[in-house]
Amino acid sequence: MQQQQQDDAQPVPAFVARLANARRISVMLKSILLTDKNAVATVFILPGGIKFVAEDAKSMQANAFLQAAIFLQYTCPAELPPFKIHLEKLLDCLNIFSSGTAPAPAPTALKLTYCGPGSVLNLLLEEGGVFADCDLRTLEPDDILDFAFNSFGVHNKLIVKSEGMKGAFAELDTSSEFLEVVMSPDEPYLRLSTTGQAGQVNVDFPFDSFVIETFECFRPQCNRYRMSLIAPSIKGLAISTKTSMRMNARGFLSLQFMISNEDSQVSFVEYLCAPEDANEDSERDEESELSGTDSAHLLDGQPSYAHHEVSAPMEQ
Amino acid sequence: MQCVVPSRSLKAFGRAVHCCAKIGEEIYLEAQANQLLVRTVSLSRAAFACFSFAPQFFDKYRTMPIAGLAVNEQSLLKCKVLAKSCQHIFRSLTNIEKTVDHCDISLDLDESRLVFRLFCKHGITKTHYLRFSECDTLQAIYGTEHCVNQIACPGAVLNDSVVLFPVNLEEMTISVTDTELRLASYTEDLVDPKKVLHTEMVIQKDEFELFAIGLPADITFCLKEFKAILTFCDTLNEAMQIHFDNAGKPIILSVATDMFKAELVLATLLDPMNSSTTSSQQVPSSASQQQHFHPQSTPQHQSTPTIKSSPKHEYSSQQSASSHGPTSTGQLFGSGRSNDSQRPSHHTSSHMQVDHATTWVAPQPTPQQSPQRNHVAASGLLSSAFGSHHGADRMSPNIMPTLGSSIPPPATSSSLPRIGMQPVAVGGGGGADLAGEARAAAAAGVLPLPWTTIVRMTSMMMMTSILMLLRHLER
Repeated sequence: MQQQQQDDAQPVPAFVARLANARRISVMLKSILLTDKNAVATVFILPGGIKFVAEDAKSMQANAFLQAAIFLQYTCPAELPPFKIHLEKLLDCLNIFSSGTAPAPAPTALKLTYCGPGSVLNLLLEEGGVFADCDLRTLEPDDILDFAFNSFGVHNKLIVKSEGMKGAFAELDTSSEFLEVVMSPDEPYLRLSTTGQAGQVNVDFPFDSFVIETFECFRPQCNRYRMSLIAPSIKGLAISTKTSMRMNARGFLSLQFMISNEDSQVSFVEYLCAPEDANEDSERDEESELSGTDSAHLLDGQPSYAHHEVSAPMEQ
Repeated sequence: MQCVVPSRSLKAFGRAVHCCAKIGEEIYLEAQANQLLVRTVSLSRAAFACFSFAPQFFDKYRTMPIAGLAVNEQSLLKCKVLAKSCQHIFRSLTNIEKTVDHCDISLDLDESRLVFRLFCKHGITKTHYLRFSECDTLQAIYGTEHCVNQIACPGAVLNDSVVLFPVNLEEMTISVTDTELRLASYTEDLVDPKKVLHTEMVIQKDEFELFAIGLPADITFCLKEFKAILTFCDTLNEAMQIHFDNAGKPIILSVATDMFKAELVLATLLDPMNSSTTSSQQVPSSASQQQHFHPQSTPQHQSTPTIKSSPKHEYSSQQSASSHGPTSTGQLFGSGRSNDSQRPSHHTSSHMQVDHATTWVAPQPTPQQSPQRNHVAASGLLSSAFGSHHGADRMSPNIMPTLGSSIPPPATSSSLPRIGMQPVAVGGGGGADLAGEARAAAAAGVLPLPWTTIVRMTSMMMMTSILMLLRHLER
């Protein structure tokens, strides 16, 4: 379905994708929608799939990856330059036929079209014979953080069934400022704890628990993460079937959620979170260390991670 | 102290904690040799709940000896924890029933923490460490033996009935006769009955398992705590016993099984008839005071020191009932307090400041009434303040009461500084001086005397000028 039929002036779109049920995308994007009202996401359209990346306070990154295989049609001859888009508006468009959280009676078909840098992202949605044609402005992308998670040794990782994790997160005190994650080869193996007004809450997982599928832990590690940054990951947890938790040598936490749908096709949502470190100097050292390794996606001249400020994402 | 709550008992324990959290802010735990007591009292001390769990409720119940305590105190452990944090542990009871195998409650003396350890399925352990504080034994003094009325019924009967009442209803009245029980919503006298939804429900005595009424009675108590214990009862499908007397005596609701006992004691409102007679008494008192003005002057002066202090309070919760105050100040200030005029006693038009003073004095010794009446009090005090000083000089009813700019001005100006100007500011937004008072009075729609004379003079001048003009025209 070329756009040329409708408008002669339109160039050949660089990217076309069709999806049987828009709900898949909307559910995943909702889980990376952070609390910021002006939430933006950087979109990477690759031959293998689409990746949406959202960031918060330069300390946390959430990304959702939809593989090409889940689309009915996926035409992307070459990797396109990334662009930024208003995530909330995109979600509004995707949910244009649905009312709130009620499941749609009929699946909403979706067709995505993008002509290249500077053009709009076009969404064509159809439900029950009614069409909705949406054009979303694309913005110049900012450099996104590259946490370079794998560059540093990943000592500890585990894969756990999400139902176990859901109960654990529900138990935690969300009013607490920090979440402490302890992973160690001995007791307590995996422990999530919060310290709130009333006291401390610990959730312990033994390594041989039924819900834990794999547990590899070589070094005991204990790190604290801001609860406000971890909170969005609970949304991803809620829709997932499996969770992978990894911690690298610098204490960064990577939570990957596997979401599977009726067709037993899987998509992934990942959250990367920087640890809360009382020692700011060590962070600066790490920052300079980081700038030495990968130059493509870095924030040059950023003095510190600014864990303690909620800095607004860099606007254009 | 250590006890293990098995899965079968977790529901009851969790529900008890929820019930306590609805009633009070803190939960008092006391581990005795033969029972675990979980108690709470509401902030207003009008409700007291006590849950006692027998050792067979637990899988394991052990009170460890604490070094240093006497032998007979060894088994005692007393602490209080925040009700909200306790409730957080048992937040989703359905989840707990499904996933939790057992719950271990123990006291960590080294770290001063109360430890709730929930062992869930799949080997997951959830541990809650609650900080506790020291406390004394909390116990209300009451007894069911002396209660003349007793009712027993399944929790559902009353719970289903109470659900029909408005959600934000605060107090409820139960009226019992030999044959029926009537539940009615209770609204205070202050509120216009026409503007409030009034709900009533009658339950025949057949619905109850036991309905032994010694003396028909009407009792009024707080609905929130009542609902809490009813929910507890209903969810556990247990029968409830209610013991009560007449208004003013506490009502005791209790549930008892082999495993645990629950008791809720609620304070009831004193007979509403009594409170209405107190307010109506003020009306005749003011009327009688009119005749006895002179003797009253002494007490007025005695009360002056208190009056002086009143401006500082302004809208403070000094009580009561100077029922006439509002009317007068309503006239004085012309606005604001007009809503007070709903009260029936207002129409005793006390435009005589004398009355204000006297009526204010009269209620003063009466016991403090509900805080809703505080706005009445402040205004009454203000008016009476001026009244007490202007006294006998100003018996003329034609003169609308003023803030003191009426005769004799010198007297008023001297008196006002003593009272303080704030009342003026409070009431009508007037200034802090005589002129300001006049403005305030004028703003309130009250004409001071000089103004009338000015009007007269002006009118006379106009008349003379017109006459002169006419004469001039005649020429």
